[in-house]
Amino acid sequence: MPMMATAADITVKATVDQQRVALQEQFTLSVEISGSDANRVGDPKLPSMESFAAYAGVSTSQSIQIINGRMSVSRTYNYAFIATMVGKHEIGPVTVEYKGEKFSSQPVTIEIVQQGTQPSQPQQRGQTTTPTTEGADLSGALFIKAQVDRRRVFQNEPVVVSYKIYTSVTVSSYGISQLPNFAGFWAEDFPLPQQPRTTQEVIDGQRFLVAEIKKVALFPQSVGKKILEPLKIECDVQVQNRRRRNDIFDSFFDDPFMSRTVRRAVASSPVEIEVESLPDVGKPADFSGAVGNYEISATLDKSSVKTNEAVTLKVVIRGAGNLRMLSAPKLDLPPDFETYDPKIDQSIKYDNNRVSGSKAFEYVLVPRSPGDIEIKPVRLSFFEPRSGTYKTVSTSPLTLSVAKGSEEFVAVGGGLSKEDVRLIGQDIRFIATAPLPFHRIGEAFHNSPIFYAMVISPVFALGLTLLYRRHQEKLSANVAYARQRQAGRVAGKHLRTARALIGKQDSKAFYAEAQRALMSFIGNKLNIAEAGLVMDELAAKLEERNVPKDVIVDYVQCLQTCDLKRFAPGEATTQEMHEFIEQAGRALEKMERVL
Amino acid sequence: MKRILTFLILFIRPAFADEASTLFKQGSSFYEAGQYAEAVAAYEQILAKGLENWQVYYNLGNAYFKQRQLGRAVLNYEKARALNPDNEDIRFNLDLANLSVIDRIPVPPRSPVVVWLDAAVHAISLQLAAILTAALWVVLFSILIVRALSSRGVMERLGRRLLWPSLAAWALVAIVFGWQLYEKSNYRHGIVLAPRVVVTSAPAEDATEVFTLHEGVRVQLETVSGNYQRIRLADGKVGWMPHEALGQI
Repeated sequence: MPMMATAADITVKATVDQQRVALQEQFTLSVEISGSDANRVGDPKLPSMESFAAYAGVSTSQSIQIINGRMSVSRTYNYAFIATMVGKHEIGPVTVEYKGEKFSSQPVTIEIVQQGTQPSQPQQRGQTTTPTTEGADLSGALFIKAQVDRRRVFQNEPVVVSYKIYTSVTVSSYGISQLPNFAGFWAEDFPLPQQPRTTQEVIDGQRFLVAEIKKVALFPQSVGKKILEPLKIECDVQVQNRRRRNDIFDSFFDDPFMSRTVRRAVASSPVEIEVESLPDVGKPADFSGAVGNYEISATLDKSSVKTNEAVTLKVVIRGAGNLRMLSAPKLDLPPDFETYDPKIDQSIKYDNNRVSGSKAFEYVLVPRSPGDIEIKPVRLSFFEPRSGTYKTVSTSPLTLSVAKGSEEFVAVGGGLSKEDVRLIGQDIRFIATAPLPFHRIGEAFHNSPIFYAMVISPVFALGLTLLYRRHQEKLSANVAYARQRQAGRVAGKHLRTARALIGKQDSKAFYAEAQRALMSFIGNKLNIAEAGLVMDELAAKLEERNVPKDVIVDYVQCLQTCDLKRFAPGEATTQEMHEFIEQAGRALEKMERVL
Repeated sequence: MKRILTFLILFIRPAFADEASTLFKQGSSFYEAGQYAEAVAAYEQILAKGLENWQVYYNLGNAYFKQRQLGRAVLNYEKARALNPDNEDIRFNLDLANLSVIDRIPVPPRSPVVVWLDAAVHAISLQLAAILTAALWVVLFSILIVRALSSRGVMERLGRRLLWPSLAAWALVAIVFGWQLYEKSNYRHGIVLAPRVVVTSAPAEDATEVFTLHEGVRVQLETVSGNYQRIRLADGKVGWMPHEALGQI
């Protein structure tokens, strides 16, 4: 029976799933808010329904549709109620508020009838097992209890909720029709056997068969008052002939021979849990949300390793608490280790309202430098709810001896930029200790005298060698040059011989020798044969060489004196010979200067 | 001959060398004992005497590094490297010290040819290049002299065969030597010694700040104006900074 309330672009629609409902049965009031702004309106306000129904819980759902580019959102609130009062009741308008405006739905009516008077189907009689919802009032004989192990917990401290069916009738089958969504909790189901184990319990003198159908550990994620929604199940209940079976309670059914199957919906009542925040007092800096009671241990798979070889560090956390939520502990390793993300392995046991087990973190470490390396204790800080305090446990320190591997360790890669290079915490290399020669600051080989000497002296040496070689070549290749170079020496030799002859009183030989000296000099200098040299010819040749006249005259005069004295009769005096040799020497000297 | 003798005496200098060796040993034992300030003092005394070698600079760099004087550590490592470019320890410690330098100056990418040429030129030290240049020069001239003196015979044939190879070898080392000498005299470098220094756009106190540099950065030194030094970074940024905040390599 949809009732519409339209205003602006928000529509509120209230419906009930059944118009007639039996007493103690559950019904759902659905409030659908739709329109483009539907997801921004607040929770709907329900009219007072306490007089005829008990609130059992709420669930919400939302759907978004985009049609022709227009988005429409619809939010549905499903309120579960248990009918408590017989009669026809009106559920007043449901209102929502949006931007100060009120939108309300049309009222809906619901009829609550006595149990068994609700004829939804013709009664099935005979050997049928088709379930019916019709039947006796089983409210006292079939119900679900939600049991929690505690109602006040700390954040992340588990609450174990167990849902149990209590029945004094035969339940042939059941199915969970609505699971509570444990919003605000991290839920972990306890594994239960496929076929629930049943126990017996006596409540108020009535014997009940009890079966645990769901057990869950809830780790509250936020602080505050939480309400656990009811769990709803549908059961097929067999109501049997009391004569055929001596049942423990009086059957309400008349049929003496047949058993009937009746379908019943039952819901647990909501449970309220108070979640406290963890105290700030004494909270360790490295606390990361572990709550429970833990111990920690660490092992290395080998105690000695070579550089660049992998070693596994296994850190195991054992205990009870929110193990699944534990993050990998931070390792405080020397920087010359390369680490990789740990491999996580957890095994969790559920027994006796406890979630416990172990979580193992396997870190692969690759040492980069040799030495005995201490791995500092791995710490875990957690909150222990029992004592209400924080505790820290740590592993014992481990030592790893790293031998030098075959691969050479390169701390600073050549081609890497500064940011790429990982500082490997390695120290500088040790000082140089070897004794060594010192030299003056700034003194370098290239500005030392020896360097200049080495550069300049070969050039001089080569120059001298070349000059010498040129001289040798001239000597061997040129006769004229050779004679010219020898002229002075040859003339001098003849003059010395002549001087020696002065004392021997042989004036003829003396003059001949002197003449030879004078003639050979000219012959050698001018490179001409001296044998056939006539006086005039000689004077002409000298004049050609631009020899001054007076020098030629002196020279020629000496030669004429020689000729004269050689062929003149009688001996020349020693005095004469001395004078002549001086004269000839002077003439030669003058000639040498100009030739 | 007399020149060579004086040169050798300059290099040996027994009295000076003894004193310097003593100081060096003192510095080293201070260093080993962890007394780095005393080690620095001992090594600096050697330098104050006007004597040096790469080990003094290297050890000094280490002692400064241990005292967390990054700028001076880098400066001395650079000086040591200038004297002994091939030493692995110097390079290692210099690289390590440079990792702690705050400023990261991106070096513009160079073409592989330039990189190769640079590496080839710096494959040998300046000293070795000078020795080789001088020695090959002497060899080259010896060959020429032998050739000039003997016009035929074994020596002449040998000389003729060796002339061109030795000329080529000499030309190669001479180019390397000349290049390095040119670089050394035209591209001077310095290290920032002050923990933080503001580089300005002009050599004046009230000039605009261009950028800031931190201890240990290597800069190229250009011209000087008053108390200010014009510097150039590897990425081409130019500015002026106070002279006393720098140490020349």
